[in-house]
Amino acid sequence: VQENRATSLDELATVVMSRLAPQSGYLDDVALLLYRQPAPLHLALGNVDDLAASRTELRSWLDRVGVGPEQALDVLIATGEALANAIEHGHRETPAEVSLLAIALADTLQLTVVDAGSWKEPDAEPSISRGRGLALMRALMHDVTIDTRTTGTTVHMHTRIG
Amino acid sequence: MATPLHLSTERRDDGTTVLRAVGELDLSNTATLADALTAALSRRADGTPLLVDMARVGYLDSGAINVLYDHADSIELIVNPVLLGVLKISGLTEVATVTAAAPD
Repeated sequence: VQENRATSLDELATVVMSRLAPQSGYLDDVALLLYRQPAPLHLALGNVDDLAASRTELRSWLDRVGVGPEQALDVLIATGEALANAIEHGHRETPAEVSLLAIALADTLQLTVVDAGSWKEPDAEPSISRGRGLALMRALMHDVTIDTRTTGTTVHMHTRIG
Repeated sequence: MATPLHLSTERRDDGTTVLRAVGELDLSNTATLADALTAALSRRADGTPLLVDMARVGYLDSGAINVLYDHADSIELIVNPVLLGVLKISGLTEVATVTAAAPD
């Protein structure tokens, strides 16, 4: 299966069936069920006007992954918070370089938002607003980790699906 | 692609002022929402709450929630049922009057 990542599902089924077949052929009817999650979604954003388009892309990808509309909205909002933060604070002067990577595994969604700047230190802006965005992300997703380095900030989010 | 948002303010026959938002609320239009809310609040009759009709808003982020928080005492919200969950999580439903609109 691993060798045939680029093979279409129909063809893959044929390959698997013929390789598994005993020399004397199958003794009874055999059914093979194959399912493949959509390829990861990768998006690049430069400014706040890209947010709406990113939601459209992510919404349609989540639909292909089979995430229901209610959970999809949770994912959209949590991801939107991370993207907005990254755009707002990643780069103040130059256009931001923010990327979103969404990966669907069998039972988990992994979302990663990377920017090339650093989020404002919590102490630098003790505003409720920032806390509210982060609290929202944590409430809507199963797990949120924020990794801040001098080169940029990475937000990882996981949520269970299926 | 800019975020779609249409804002309008009207005074009903019963004297209630209504700010209606249609579209999506995110970082790109937080300031627009805040301005419209301030303007609508100044137009309402003394002592009457401002009705903020967000029945046709399908997405909002914490920036928009913050704007609503700032005026929680003086607004009554009608929201798209799909957003009720996130407004509860944010605590807005505890400080402002929030009603789910009837589904389309």
